[in-house]
Parts: sequence; C-alpha cells; structure tokens
Amino acid sequence: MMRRLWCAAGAAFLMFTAANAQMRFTYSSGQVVSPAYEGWRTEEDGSQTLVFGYMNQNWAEEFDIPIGPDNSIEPGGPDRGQPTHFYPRRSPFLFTIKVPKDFGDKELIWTVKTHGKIEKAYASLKNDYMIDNQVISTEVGGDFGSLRDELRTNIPPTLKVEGDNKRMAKVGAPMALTAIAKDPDNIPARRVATDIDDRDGVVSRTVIARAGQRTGPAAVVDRLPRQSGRRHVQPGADEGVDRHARLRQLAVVAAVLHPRAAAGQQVDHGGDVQGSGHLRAARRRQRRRGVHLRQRDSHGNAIARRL
Amino acid sequence: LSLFLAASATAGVGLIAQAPATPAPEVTFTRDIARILQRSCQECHHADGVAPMSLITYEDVRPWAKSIKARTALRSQRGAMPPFFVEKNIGIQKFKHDPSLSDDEVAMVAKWVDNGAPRGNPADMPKALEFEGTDKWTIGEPDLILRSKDVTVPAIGPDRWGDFGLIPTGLNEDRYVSAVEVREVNDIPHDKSVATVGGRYVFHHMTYESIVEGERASSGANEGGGSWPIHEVGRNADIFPPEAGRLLAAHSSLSLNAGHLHSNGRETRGHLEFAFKFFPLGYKPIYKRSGVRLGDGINIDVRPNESGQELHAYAVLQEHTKYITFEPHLHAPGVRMCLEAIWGHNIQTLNCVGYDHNWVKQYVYEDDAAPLLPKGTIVHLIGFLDTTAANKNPVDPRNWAGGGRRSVANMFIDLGYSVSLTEDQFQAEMAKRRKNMKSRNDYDIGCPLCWAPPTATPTPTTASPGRPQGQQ
Repeated sequence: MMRRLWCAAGAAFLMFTAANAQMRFTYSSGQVVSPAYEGWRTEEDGSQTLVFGYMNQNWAEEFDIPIGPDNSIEPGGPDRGQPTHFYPRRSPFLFTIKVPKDFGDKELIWTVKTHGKIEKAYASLKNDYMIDNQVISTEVGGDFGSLRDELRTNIPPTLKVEGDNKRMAKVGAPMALTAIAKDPDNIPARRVATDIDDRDGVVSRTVIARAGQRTGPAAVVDRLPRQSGRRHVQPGADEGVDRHARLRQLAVVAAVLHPRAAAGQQVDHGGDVQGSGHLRAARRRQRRRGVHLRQRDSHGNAIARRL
Repeated sequence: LSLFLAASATAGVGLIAQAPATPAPEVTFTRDIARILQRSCQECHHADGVAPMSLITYEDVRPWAKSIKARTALRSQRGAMPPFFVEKNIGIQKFKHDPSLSDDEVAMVAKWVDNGAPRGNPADMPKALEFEGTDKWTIGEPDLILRSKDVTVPAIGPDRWGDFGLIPTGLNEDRYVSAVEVREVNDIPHDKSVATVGGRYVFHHMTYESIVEGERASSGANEGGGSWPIHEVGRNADIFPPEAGRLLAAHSSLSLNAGHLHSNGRETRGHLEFAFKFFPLGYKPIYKRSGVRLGDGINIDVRPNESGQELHAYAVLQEHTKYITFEPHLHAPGVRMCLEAIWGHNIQTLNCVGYDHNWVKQYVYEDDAAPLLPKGTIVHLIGFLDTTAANKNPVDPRNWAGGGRRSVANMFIDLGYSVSLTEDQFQAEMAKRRKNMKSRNDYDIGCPLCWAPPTATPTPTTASPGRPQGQQ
C-alpha cells in the first residue's frame, strides 16, 4: 500500500514537473509575478545602487499588492520604495535602492506573493550583475538596442512633477499636475519633434489626473505630440488615468493613449524621478503594443492612425 | 512456448558460462589510450595549448586518469570532454572536425582507469604529435591572419559593448573563404581558473562583417560577403561547403562592429585573431546564403531553481534550404538545444546537443549529411534550461531572469547558417543523397523528400488532387 502511494506521488510529481516545464503559453491570468534583480552600480561616493524590476507572467492580469508580508524588501523594509501595482509582462530597471559602502556580501531580498506563491529576488554585489548606463540602455532596447559606446556616458533624462508632493483633492474632481521631462544631452536624439515646449530639450505637458474612487494623487506624462501648440492636454476618455491613482505617493505614467500602453512608476523621492529606466520601459512597451490614435477625417469618418 | 524459451535461455547461459574464457586484452596507455588522446584531446591539451594541463605523456596523463574517465562519460552533458555535445542517439551524426569519442572508446577509457591505468609496452606508443606553440589553427595553415587591437578588461566591471574598429585585410583581389577560425589570445595563465560566466575569456562575442569603405557593407551578400558567423566564447571554426564560400573582397576591412566584453574577475588583456583559408583563385560559389533566423529573445522567462524549463521558436522556410551548421546559443542556464524539421506529418529531430555556456560550440554538418529541407518546412528550435544546483553556470540560480544581451540575462537562438537552393540544386542534392542510401528502407535524417519522386514539369492547366504531400 505504501509503495503504491509512493508511486502515485511520484507520478503526480512527474506530471507536475512536465506541466511546469511547458508553462510558456500566453496566459492572460493565473500566473505569478517574479521580482527581478537587475544589477548594481557604484556611485561617486562609493555607495552602491541596487536596481530591481519585475516580470508579471500574465498578459492581462494586473496586481495590487500592498506593502507588507506579501510585498516586502528586507532588511530595512518592508517598504523600500518598491511598486505596489504590477502591470503585465516585463518591467525592467524599475526602481533603485541605495546601499552603503560597506554592503559587502550582504543581500537585499524582495519578496512578492501572488496567487499564493512566493517569489523572491536576491540582490547582491556579485561581479556579473554590475551595470552602467550602457547596460541599462541596451537591455531595454534604448536607441533601438544600439551598442554604441556613447551610451555609456549618456546622461539619463530627468522627470519632475511640479508642485508640492502632497496636495489635497476632492474625489471625482480633476486636479492639474504638470510634469517636465528633460534630456540634457539629447542622446539618443529625440525622434519626434515636439512643438510644445522645446527649450533645451525640455518637454512639458500638463494633464489632468482624476482620482476616481481611489485615494492619492497621480500624474501622467504624455510624451506623444497630440495637437500642435497645446501645452495643456486633456486626457481622452480612453486613457483611464485613474487606473494609476492607487499608487502610493506620486505616480508617473508615460504614453497613455491606450491604457495598456502605460507604464506606472512609483517615485522614490517625492517629485523627482532620476534615472532612465522609467521612460524607457514605457517606450518599449509602447513600441511593442503600438498606439492608435482615433481621429476623424474631413468627412467625419472615423480613422485610426498608428503613432 | 514461454517455458521453452526460458529453458533455452537458461541453457544458453549455461553454455556460455562453460565456454573456455578468452582473457580480454588489457587496455594500456601506450597501445589504446594515447591514440584517443592524440585524436581528440591533445589539440588543446599540450604544453602551450589553451587547456590547463598537458595530456601528452603517460606522466602527464596518469594524475588525471579518474577525471578523464568521469569527463568522457558525461558524453553530451555540461562538463563533458572533449567539448562536443551532440547526442549520439538522436538525429544526424556526421559532422566536420568531430573530436567526440565512440561508445567503445568511452568504455575503453573507463576500463583502463578501473584497472589502475597501466602504462603498457613503451614500444606500442604512437609517434608523438608535433605542436607549434600556440599558433596552431584547427583549420590548418591559414592563408591570412588578421589581428584586432588589444583591449584591457578590468577584473570587475559591467558588461561592455562597442565597436572595435576596422582591420584592413590587405587584399588586392577578391578571395573566397573556405574556412575561418577566430580565437581570443589573452594573458590569463593556463593553470589559473576564473569564476565568472565565460571563465577563461573576456570576449563574450564579436559580431563582425567585411566592408569596402565607400561601398555598402551588404554588397556581395548573395555571394557570401558581408557578415560573418559570430565569434563566441570557446567557439570552434567555420568550414564553408565547396558550393558556398564567403567573399572577402579586394581592399576590404573587417569591421568589428559589435563586440561584447565581460569581466572575469581578473584584469585581462587580450585580442582576437582571425584566420582565413581561401578557395583557389577563380573559385565562385553557386549557392546563395539563406536568411533563416530562428530564436526568441522577447519572451524568455527563466525561473529560479527549476530544471526542465523549455523555450520554443518556429520559422517557416521560404526556400529550399540546406543547413550548413547548427549553433545553439543560450546563456548560463542553458543545458541543451534541439532542432526539429516539420514537413507535413513528417517530424524529424535533426539534432539534440548539450550546451555548456563555457564552451559555445557550432556543429558543422558533413556535406553529405547536412539537412536538405524543402520550402515550407517548419523548423522548430527547443531550448532546455536548468537553474538548479545541477547546473553550475548561472551566477545566482535563485533569481528570476529574462531575455537580454548581458551574461546574466538570456538568449535563445540558433546562430547556425544555411544556404538557399533552387529547385534544380535541391533535386541534385537529393539525388546525391539517394546514391548513398542502400535501399528504400534506408532513411536520411534531415531529408524528408529524398525518396520522393523528383518534381514533374508543371502542367499549369491541370491540378493534381490527391497527390501526397511533398510530391509537388
């Protein structure tokens, strides 16, 4: 009897293993989020910065996982600035954690639990994980995946949301947020000439974030030229801005003509987003999925234009 | 009947047991093992070779006997020696420059070690091979050797990609290349091990092409000019078939336009050397290069601490195609790759090979064994990954990893190359294959239409309903 049980258990294990190995289907839902350790870099003061991202293995399902036992980074956590909202598929080089010079052989561990399964990312200073700007740019398809050495010295773009970090808003009432993106060295050169606010590589847009039924402010950066000469762009009905409102503190979202094309980014330190990964992640996602702008022609017929 | 068979079998066993025993000849180093080492090991394992120890004399070899037994027994798995990972029981088995041991040779090595690794009669020792320092090339004496500039790679640093400049070929006339071999020459001592991905090398890969300044780089691509097979860590030589030499044009330069350097824990200075062998003057290729690309870099999703993970990619051949090489490319979690050809209901596994990221190998088919696949064939690539402790290559197998260019990220691609064939060329190639087959019961793996009747002259006004697939 015992042998039969063992055989059954063994067969079940083999079936599970075989099924597990074949989990390469395009699942809409039911799969998990894998936190990802992207690498580390040394800062000028000798400290190190650890970079994280994630892979949501679903193609549609999104997760909201509040900071706590199911979404923690230790030691020093559970809140080390990680996201609480997880979009489908890959979001690489998403947020950073600075660690002291004497971090040495220590590790930070990011734990995420989805669908009852715990996944962890182990961040260390192992040599092979060392990165720099060129690595990040290349790995997220920056400059069309170029290997140009010039990208090593590329200065990352900056993004700033004007105004106080904390503002009061009424639920359901619009609130204006202005975000300014800069790319000081214009490397790689911008492909889309914007006529909105083009001083020294500055692109600014103001959009309206609607809090909806959720609390907390949100910001949206629209980096696509929409209508000439307009500095203040109203979000379209299909932009689903309030999808991002649940993020803590301040959310910065890029390219939102289609809600699925958006990439949410929680800000480490109120207002400023340093680093290039955020917009790049959004750009890549945008390119992959394409963005269609609905317009009407001179006869009033609906047309779709791919941006 | 069963009882009869059982009784007969028992009787047979008894007869065998009673037969006078013929003592098996002792396996010795001088008579048996040295020949195997000369053919399959010493090219790297000599005093100035790239391997960390010499395996020339009995005194060299004896301390490593147990290790040799263990490594040769691994066959196609990671860590196997010699590093040629074709699985012997699946698919095509005829490759150029195949140093692998036969099953009998593996058994012979094991027997020799189990019996105490005896030296044997010195008179049985074969004549020692001569090695000319480190300048020996596996393709033979090159007609042209080109050298990249030196690079110094820090002990610890981020992966680095870049353009490594031009190397003028110095050629004043067009030459067609029959073989090219690229090797990294660096200052890592032979007897020092290193503990990072790719270990003994710093050039993870080099993508390069030949260009004539002022002309488009792709000129002559149909004749085999332009891009060259990528160089990778530990990769072996490219040997082009007689019908598909590659053009190295007059006044051209090698453009090392996309190299990838990876620190190995020790400051290393090194460069690449490119050795070319030419076809005779006046040679012209008759086959056109194929544009088949097979792999997937987008959807890679490598789980931590899990064996048996698979990746799949497919492509449909747009022309009749002859595969020249199969070159699995994965990263550290990779342990195996298979290539399948699907022609209707005819599904053939062309090859399965083990993968070790410290020995990125290509497998060059013998000309009379290379896959001959008809237009419309679906080629299917399967990558196998292992991030458990059984695979020591991943830097941190506890971590999830996706696709990317870095050594800690992942690739999944067949970097091999192939040629496109016209209908006449395809039929002629298959006719040559049929001559090598003994009967209609003889299969040529990788040639699903070899026994199909040659294509009839098209009759545009009539269809041919009911004709079996493949007999167009």
